[in-house]
Amino acid sequence: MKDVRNDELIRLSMKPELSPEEEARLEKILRGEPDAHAAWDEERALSRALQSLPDVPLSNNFTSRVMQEIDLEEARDQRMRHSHGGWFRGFWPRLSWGTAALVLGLVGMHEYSVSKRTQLANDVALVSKDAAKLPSAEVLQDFDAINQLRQVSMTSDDDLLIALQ
Amino acid sequence: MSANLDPDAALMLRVREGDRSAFETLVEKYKQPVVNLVARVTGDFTEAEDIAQHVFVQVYKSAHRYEVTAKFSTWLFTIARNLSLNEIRRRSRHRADSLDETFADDDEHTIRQPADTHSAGPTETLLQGELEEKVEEAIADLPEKQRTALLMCRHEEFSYEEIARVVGCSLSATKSLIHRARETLKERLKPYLHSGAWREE
Repeated sequence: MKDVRNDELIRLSMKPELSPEEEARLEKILRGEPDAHAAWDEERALSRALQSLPDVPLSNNFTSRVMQEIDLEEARDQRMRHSHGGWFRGFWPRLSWGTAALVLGLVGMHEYSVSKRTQLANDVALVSKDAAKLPSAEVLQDFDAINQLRQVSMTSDDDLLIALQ
Repeated sequence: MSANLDPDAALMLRVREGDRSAFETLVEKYKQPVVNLVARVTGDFTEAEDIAQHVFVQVYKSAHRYEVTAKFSTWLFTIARNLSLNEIRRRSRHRADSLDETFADDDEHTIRQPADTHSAGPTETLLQGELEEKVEEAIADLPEKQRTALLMCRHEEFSYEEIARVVGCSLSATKSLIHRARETLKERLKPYLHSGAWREE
């Protein structure tokens, strides 16, 4: 409630003149709260102080200086556009170099890809030769079972030996 | 063109079409408030005019980006604040100070006010000059967002919503900024506020 009152007092305090409705609203606020008078006096004094601050000195020809600066900037922009036209005259040589670099890059990638495939083919051929020396599939089918037998705990063999003795 | 169009927005539409005289009209109308804001946000009354000039040049160059639905003054003062912040940052880089600087206790950045034009005249004039100086110092000591919000608030033309858009805060945060700024100033300027120096005219 106090914030709303303060808002209202600040707003009213900034007005150079109050309308009849605003005067009535102010009266209502001041009648309603005992400390509102002191608050109003302070807000009014501060607003007057702020509004009394002098204008910062300004040159008489400020506006014409602004327009001159605009003209200078527009002239500068025009010059830059023309120099970009000069850049455009060198565009075709730049495009040629760029295209050549792109073609060389693509050729290089192709050669690399071919060489990788050749290397892979050689590796496959090498493995294929050794693959002929591997046992047949029938021999290998019990590989897992045989491999598990090797992992039988040694503890059970010791118990058997003691029992046999 | 809508009959309810903000008059400044109507001028900016003409500026977008290349009407330079419309732009000059806008410059004439807003040059003083912009310089006032820039000077007090940056704390540099000497450079404020140059910075304000850049503000208007930026406005002209950005005319194609202006949206008619936005109030022209809000857009203008947003640009003014942004360029003021750039200036503060530029000076900070040279001193490696924080952005949220105040300008107190620093001889190099004592407020560079306009030359004191108060001659040794009546006592009231001298007192008024001293009071103004105290107010300027108190404002300069505020954090930047409070300072900007308070300066925009001192005249009626900006609503809290518009000030919120310029400082980039919510409406409630903006009200809080203004309240805190005013509380700080009231505390700081208590002896002067109670002196009756700012009497109703």
